[in-house]
Amino acid sequence: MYKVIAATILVLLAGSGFAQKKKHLKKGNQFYENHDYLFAERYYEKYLSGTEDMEVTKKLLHCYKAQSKNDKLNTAYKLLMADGNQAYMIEYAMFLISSEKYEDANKILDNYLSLSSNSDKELAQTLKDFSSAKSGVSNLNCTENVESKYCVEISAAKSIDPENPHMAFIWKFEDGFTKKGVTVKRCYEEPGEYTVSLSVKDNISGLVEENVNTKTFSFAPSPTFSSEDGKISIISAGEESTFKCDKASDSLTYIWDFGDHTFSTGSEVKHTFNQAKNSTIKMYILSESGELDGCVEQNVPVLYNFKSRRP
Amino acid sequence: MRAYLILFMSVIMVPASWGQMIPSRSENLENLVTFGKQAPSNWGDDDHVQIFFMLVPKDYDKPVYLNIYDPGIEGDNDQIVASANTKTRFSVYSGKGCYSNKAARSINPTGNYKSGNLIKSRTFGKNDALDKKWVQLAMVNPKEGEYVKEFDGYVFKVVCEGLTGDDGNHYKYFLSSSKDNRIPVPGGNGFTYEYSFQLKNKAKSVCHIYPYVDDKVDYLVQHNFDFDNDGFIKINSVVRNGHHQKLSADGEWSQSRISIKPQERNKSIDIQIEKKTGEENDMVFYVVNQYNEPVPFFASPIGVTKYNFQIDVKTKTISK
Repeated sequence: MYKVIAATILVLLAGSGFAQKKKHLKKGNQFYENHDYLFAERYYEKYLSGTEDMEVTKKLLHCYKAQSKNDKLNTAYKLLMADGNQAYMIEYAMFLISSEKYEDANKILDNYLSLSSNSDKELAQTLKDFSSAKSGVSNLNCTENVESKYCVEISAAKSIDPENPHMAFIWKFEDGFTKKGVTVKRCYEEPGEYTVSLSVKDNISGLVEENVNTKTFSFAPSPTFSSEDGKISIISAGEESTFKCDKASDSLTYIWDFGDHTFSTGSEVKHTFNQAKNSTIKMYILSESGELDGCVEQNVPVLYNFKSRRP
Repeated sequence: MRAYLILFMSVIMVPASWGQMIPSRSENLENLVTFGKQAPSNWGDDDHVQIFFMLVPKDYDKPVYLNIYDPGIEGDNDQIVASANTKTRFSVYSGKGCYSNKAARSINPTGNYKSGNLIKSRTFGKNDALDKKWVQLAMVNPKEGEYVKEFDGYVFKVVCEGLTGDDGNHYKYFLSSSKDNRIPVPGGNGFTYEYSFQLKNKAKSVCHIYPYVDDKVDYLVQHNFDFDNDGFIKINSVVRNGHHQKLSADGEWSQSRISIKPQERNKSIDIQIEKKTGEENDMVFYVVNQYNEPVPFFASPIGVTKYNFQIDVKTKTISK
């Protein structure tokens, strides 16, 4: 008799627990639909406590993303990875890159690239190149998205014969400008290709040996970027915006970091910000040899979208 | 070492046409010089004899022609002291021993330096008709030369002797593949163990001579004679940039030691002679290794002799 009562109570409790979870899910979905991610997160977390539901986990992930809850995001991504969810591999790699966990990102990308069914191999490869390049650079300061000048430092330090300290180094630039010294600096107003030739002077005999070596160097066009109308215009949350590199070069790869754990590649990209807040857009430039050539950044206010009434 | 030498001579050598005239264009010397026996040594020739070897690649089997520019004593190309009273003899030797006899490769013309088979000999004195003209001295079948394994080619020898008089005979050689024109022998070269030459009569001119450094050389000792302290003597190589050497005064010898670096072996180094004045200057040079053995000067340098100047460039784009 007692056993029956106990079993009944357990069934009732389980039933009530199940009903409760269903309620949490329903509530969570309501808030989620209304883009009220804070409350949606609370209910989804309650729902997922002791329950595995990948579809809800994806929604919860979205809630974390919208609120920039990085620790929770990482856990959610790991759950999706453990479930073998390929669709989120690139997204997770982007998250790891933006969290400066390049090694972990490369592992995910390697894994993705090894899959026969990968659908975005090119993007994965570019992200991997970018991640590798960025991991080798410490304290990369991005320049502001304004007009630039182009500076060069030229050195003959490796040409010094330690047994002969009597040599002077003379640099002649393509426009006739001359500078003396082992290492010299010069800045240009315009991008383009420039040449410098090295002459050496024997300070004992006074003899100058002309043009013992020449070097050509170049500056890529100004790495500024803008939206469609030539400058960063008003960006509204929930609306797609286009960004493009001014004077892009075919030989360079452009990687865009929108500051919300998402990256895009190309000289012209589209992006939708989900949240109205101040964002920093960074455009990284990757050289043909896979080295990080530069970075340009711009702070942009993402405005509340009254049209769609989305925050 | 042999393999390297053959490789360099056949592939990396400066254009053949440069090397077949001796002095070569890259040496930038004015002339070779031999003074008459009565000339004092401080005119620029210590022993009144110059021995040159002509090298013809093993596979070249056509006749070669040795030409001499201005072999006589006449005109402003020569150093006439009072009257042109000097006689100079040019002799061509081939066959076994013409190179391998040690006396032929010594600094001083003693012993059997005229070793080998005499092919042709001709003496020149005052002769207006030959002034500043090319004269064909001998036709040689290369196979009659002495085969030298080290150079993988046949070698014959030209001995120039100042027999009488006190004038300086300035001349050049050209090893030609053509009887009627001066056309270089492909891969040919000329070399000597003691070099007597006339520098350019121009202030700040730079002449070059190219001693060959084989794989056994630890150090070299350069000896220069009668430079009159007229400028600077420097050593250049792939890893050496203008190391100054001791200079000789009028009628004197001077020497300095050069430690050889591994990168300098199996190629020529560049001895640069930088002139201070525009005065006429004849001088003598020889270089020995640590065993006191003379090393050859090739008219066409072997391998790369230029110092490796590196330029590093760092570009940066910054905000205005």
